[in-house]
Amino acid sequence: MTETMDAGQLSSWYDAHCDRLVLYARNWLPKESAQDVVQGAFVRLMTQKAAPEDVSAWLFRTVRNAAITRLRRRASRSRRHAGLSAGQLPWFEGRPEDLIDARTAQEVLLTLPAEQREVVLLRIWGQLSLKQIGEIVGRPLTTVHSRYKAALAAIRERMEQSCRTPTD
Amino acid sequence: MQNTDGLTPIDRELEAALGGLRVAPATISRNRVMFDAGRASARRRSRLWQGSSCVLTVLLLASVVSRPTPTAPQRPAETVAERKADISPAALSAASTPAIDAEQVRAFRRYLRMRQAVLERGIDALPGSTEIPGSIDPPLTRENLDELLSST
Repeated sequence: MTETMDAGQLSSWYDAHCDRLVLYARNWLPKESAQDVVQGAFVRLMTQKAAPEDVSAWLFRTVRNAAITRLRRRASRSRRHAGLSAGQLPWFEGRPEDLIDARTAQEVLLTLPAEQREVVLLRIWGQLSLKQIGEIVGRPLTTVHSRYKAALAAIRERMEQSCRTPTD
Repeated sequence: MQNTDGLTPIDRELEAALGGLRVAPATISRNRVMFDAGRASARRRSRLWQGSSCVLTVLLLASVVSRPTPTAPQRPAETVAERKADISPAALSAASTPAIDAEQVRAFRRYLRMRQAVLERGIDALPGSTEIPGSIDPPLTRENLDELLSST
């Protein structure tokens, strides 16, 4: 904890992290629940006596804990997978200049094991270092690194497969 | 070729391509988040005050309830020492009979005789001089003094 917080700081943190935190929470939850969790994280941040040293990592860790807690309250694992894969609102905004199709990227990400997907979300869209990710997920750096590499390899492989067999 | 992260250039390209995707914006009401956060922060502060005032109230009540009844200060037991007066005869006579100067006694005796003579013979009895004849004074004792006084 370093300093006290005010509304201006909270506003800047909200602008910087909100969308990425919601995307991260959607690793476990549907969009509405993910947004509730993120909102709760910002409220909880404001109730801290002083700002955390690493606000970004604190927010991601808080969202992770809250999302997992909420997930445990929900239905079984099979229902969670059904919730994530079916009827998912888009994770990304598709734009013409994108090098990868947003919808395809989402589909490929959803095929990854949850722990690999989590690392990818934190590294690429959370813009956290592997060390920070290790602290958030509670795993050693080598484990995080190997998960990340495996996830990238799997994504590349499945993207190539989707390119070879385009779907209409 | 690998860099320090152990990622190949192909991995880097894939990273960059994925990172180029724009995250779908959240539909959380920004104002709602700010309001809730501000309210939570204020609640925390107010709870701090409430908690401290409750603690102080409890301490106050505890001090009032558990206040010990005042006890009289411990004083040493008072003892009355009887002081016996010195009632020896010598002390009594010394206390009741002050020392009388011999000259005063003679003057007092002369006065008494002159007073007696004036009462008997009138003012002719007053001497022309201050000396009254035949005034050889016997020693003045308590009995003589009482006799003189009773005769007047």
